[in-house]
Amino acid sequence: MTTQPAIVLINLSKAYDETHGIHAINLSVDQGEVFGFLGPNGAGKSTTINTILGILRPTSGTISILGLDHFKDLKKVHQHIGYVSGDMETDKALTGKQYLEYVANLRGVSKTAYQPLIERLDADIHAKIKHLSRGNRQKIGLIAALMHDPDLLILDEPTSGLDPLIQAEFNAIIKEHTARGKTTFISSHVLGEVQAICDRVGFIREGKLIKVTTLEELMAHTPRNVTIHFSSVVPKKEAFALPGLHKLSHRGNSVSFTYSGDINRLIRLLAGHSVSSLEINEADLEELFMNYYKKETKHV
Amino acid sequence: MFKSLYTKTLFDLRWLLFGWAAGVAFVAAITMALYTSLSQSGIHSILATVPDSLKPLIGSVDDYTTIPGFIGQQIFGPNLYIMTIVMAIIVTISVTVTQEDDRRLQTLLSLPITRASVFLQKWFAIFTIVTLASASVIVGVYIGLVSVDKTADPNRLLESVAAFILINVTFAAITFALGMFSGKRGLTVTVASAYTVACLIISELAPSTDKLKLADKFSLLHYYNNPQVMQHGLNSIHMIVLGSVCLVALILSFVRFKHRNIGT
Repeated sequence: MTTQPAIVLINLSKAYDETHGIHAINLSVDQGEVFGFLGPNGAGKSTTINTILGILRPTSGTISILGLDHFKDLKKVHQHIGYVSGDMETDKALTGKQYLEYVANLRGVSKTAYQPLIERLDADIHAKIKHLSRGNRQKIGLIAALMHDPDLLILDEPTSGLDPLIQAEFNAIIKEHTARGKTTFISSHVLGEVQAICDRVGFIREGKLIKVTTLEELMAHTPRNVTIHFSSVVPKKEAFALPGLHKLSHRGNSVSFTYSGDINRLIRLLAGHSVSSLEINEADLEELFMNYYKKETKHV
Repeated sequence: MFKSLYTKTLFDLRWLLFGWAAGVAFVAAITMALYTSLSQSGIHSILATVPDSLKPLIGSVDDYTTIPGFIGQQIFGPNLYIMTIVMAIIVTISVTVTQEDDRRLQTLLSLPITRASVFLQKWFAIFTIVTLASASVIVGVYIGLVSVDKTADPNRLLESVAAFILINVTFAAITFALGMFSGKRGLTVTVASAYTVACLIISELAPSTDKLKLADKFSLLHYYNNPQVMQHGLNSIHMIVLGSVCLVALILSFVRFKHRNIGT
């Protein structure tokens, strides 16, 4: 494996027409990283992934995968990639066993290499794929994507249809994959889905990458839900005029608000009052996610 | 069977191939079995009443009273090739644009296989199926000949089968080229079907009207069994024309398929 970044996109654009497509995306994903690619439906996630895979031809820009030139070495690139999407279509007339054998032959992988994955995901490989539930079809797709222990795993909303137990197993597989120094690029329109496994996330909106940040940084700036119960007089509204404090509401002796500012300033404010209880809840990432798509687009 | 895209495609279409081959052989055998009764049933007087414009479709007296004429018209004529050309188009559409339409092609292209390889393996799979299914006609003809206790010139029969295979392969190639070039299912089905119907109509009517003589040159059927291979042997110019059409169509679509977007 090279020391080059797993994915480098430089000014990558794919235009269908004036409004649809992706526009000048610049992104670098390091090896060993789990990168979450987030955006609502139609934002350009699948277009970006299909362009990386060479299924769509970019209008402009360059793509480098593990140091390989995407346009010159696409077959080599695909040897390093495992890809699965939530709406993946396979040869449904085949059984899971036949399909996996076929993919293994195309990848040059022995049949025994993916047997542990079949057992781990408890996949039904003897029924025809067309007779399987969506979740079971997804398992076959995941095994096909993971069977060659790819250096780069590209997942396009992969866990739709998976039950919570299998989803937990899937997360464990991704973590083991990362622990071996391999990279995962996972797209989703649900932040919570990638929260458990990602190091960094990028937000895409209307074909433009609007923010790339670490999950840590994201959490630090995400508004927390705060509820304070006062044992005596509730301070006036003006007393809560702190930067990052929003959605203030009073109810009896209680005050609730969202707070994304310095926690020490909040504690100093409360020091002069008689507080009976204080609740600071975990950051609500989904709310932050929604805020990104409500705000004016700000290009990174 | 799952070593390559080529063998996997043959596996996918195995029942269609068996059914098609059996159907072609069955129709040929049944048609041949009717030779004795048709050749002795006062066909001369019936054909005397047929208008000239319908004679290319129905055939002449020789096409009912001699074995080469009967095989040339009743086996390798419109009765059978209309069926096989339609089958060739259906098979080709199922292997090309249908798989792009339902996103199976996108999944395939995410695996380590080049577009060139996908194109060639799919084409060779279609070529194999169309060739085998078309060649099964010879089995039917032999069974039919045995049943009526007649014989036919084996060389001419093989030449006729070669021409029969080539015309079916050419229609498959045109459809394949349209599908791989455009990736559009509706467009491919419409253009391939419309062109086939136009070919059938033009080639059947052209002998009886001068106005269609030029248009007939653009019909692939003009270069098939015209005149009958069973009686006159293969026309090498016609074989070259059909072969060239296949080659040009495949080269153009190959170049386009290598560079276009898939599934948009």
